[in-house]
Amino acid sequence: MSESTRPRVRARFPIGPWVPGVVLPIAVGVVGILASLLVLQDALLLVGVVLSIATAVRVRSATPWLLVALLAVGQLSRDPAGLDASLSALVLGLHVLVVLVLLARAVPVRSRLQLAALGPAALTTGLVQVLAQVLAALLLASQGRLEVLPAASTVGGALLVLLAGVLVLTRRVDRED
Amino acid sequence: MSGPTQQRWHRRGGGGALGMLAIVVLAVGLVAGRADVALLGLPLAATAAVALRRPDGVATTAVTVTAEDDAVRVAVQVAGASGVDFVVLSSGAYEEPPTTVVVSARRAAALEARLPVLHSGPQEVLRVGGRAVAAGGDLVQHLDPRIARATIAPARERIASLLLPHRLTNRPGAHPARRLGDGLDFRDLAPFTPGDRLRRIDWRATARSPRPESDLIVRRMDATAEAAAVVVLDSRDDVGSVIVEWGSDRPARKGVASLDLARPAVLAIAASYLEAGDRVAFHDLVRAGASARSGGGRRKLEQIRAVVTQTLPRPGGALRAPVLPTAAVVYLVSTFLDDDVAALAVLWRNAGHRVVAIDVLPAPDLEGADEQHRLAHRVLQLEREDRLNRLRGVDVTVVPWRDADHDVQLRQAERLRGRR
Repeated sequence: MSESTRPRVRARFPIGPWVPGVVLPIAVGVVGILASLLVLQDALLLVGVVLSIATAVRVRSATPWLLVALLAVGQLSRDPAGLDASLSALVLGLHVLVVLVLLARAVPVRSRLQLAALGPAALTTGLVQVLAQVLAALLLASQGRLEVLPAASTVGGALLVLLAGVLVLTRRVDRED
Repeated sequence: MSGPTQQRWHRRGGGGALGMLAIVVLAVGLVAGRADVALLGLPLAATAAVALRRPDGVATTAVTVTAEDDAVRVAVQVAGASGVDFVVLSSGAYEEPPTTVVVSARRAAALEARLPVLHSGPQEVLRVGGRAVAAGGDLVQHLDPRIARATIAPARERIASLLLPHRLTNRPGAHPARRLGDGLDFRDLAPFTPGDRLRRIDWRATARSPRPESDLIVRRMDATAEAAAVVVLDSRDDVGSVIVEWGSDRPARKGVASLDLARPAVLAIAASYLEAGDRVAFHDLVRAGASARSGGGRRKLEQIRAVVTQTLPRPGGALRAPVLPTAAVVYLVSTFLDDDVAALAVLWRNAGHRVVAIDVLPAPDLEGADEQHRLAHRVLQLEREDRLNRLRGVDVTVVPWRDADHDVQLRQAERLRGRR
């Protein structure tokens, strides 16, 4: 059936600087590939790249979490004696990856994304990264000289218990709502 | 507007999965004695913790529409909740598919846009929906959809030519009548008779008169009378200029519609007669209640304006012919796409009314039309042209309102007084 070729009438809300919503899944893919290149090798690298692309395409599926797990496994398979600045980059990359995944799951691909809308996520990411990068720097500085693992294990164990408790509590509150 | 239905925050599940993953990574790092791996779990855990935050309150949407001269200003407000990261807002103007913007909570509290005025009358201007997002993208609250409607007043037009009915009423008015009266137009001189006003005595004529001195001469004047005009609107059709959109009823695509031409036409005709001191009645051929009884003055114009502005198309509605005052000039505003309205025009003409057919079918726009559309439109136009020619044949004045010179055509018709 024939249709009019008239341009669509749209409510163009002035929102200042913006990017298309599709930028977020693309960024997820790019960050995933970069992190894979950083930490994975051989066959795992190929899997990482494929998972990164799959994550960008199907960001609402479970593939982002598989990619994160794969990157952690990749780091686990590396020689702990050879830690270098790539650890800091990986900490940053992994963090940015999960933040972008959560955002990309909420933002429609076909949308105008105001840059200011990313402000809260950017602020939180920055604050967490300050702490994480300090810890990474301490870890790199203490490599071979300080026995940081026992202390890290204690603190990490406490954090783990705390986080698990908060998660359980949140689930219960959600269910009651 | 619809009432609130979805005022509830719910999780999308990403934060929980991320939290579990963070625990696993931290645990693996600690069990394996690898601080670097455990460190990878730290930002994941922090992000999961951020996802645990709950905003206060629920977000609600409010939409206001303000009609201006050449645009419609829409204001959208999403407010009521604190701790919202951003708002995903979908908005569709004039029943078009929605477009989506993602804006910060602060911006969402005061969004404004201007839309072009496409049509007059009651219409849907903006449909807004969406969701508020918090906790880094893990918490979502769907916003209740809102539909903002507005009634756009038709453009104000003027016509300078008034077609008078074949007979004027007996009430005094602004038009010269053919009977004796107290108007300003001189008619003749006549001998004074009982009942003549003394101020009508023409002393000079009396002095020049060869008649006996007792015969006074008076100046006789024409009377003035008002005209009765009836504007009848056929509101069954609201077809647009874009032929391929006939039947689709997409306001933003159909171009100028017949009711967009009809509303200003009715108002221009009514305003011209009312300003000349005449009486005007308005009738909707389909909706019996949407009428304005015969009357005069500024308030009558405002009444007609209110009724006409609210007129909606009623496809398939049954025609209800109004009762017309004696010897009125009848303006029949229609697209004349079928024989029913044309038959009414003939009926009224045969009853002695002066009938003017105001053709409000917009100029056709064949953009995007395929061969079938063009052929169907051609056939329709030929039938319509035959119909209008038949009306011309029975002394009905046909004025296409889409033409810029419709006032000129009315003026020409004013000069050519047809048979009575």
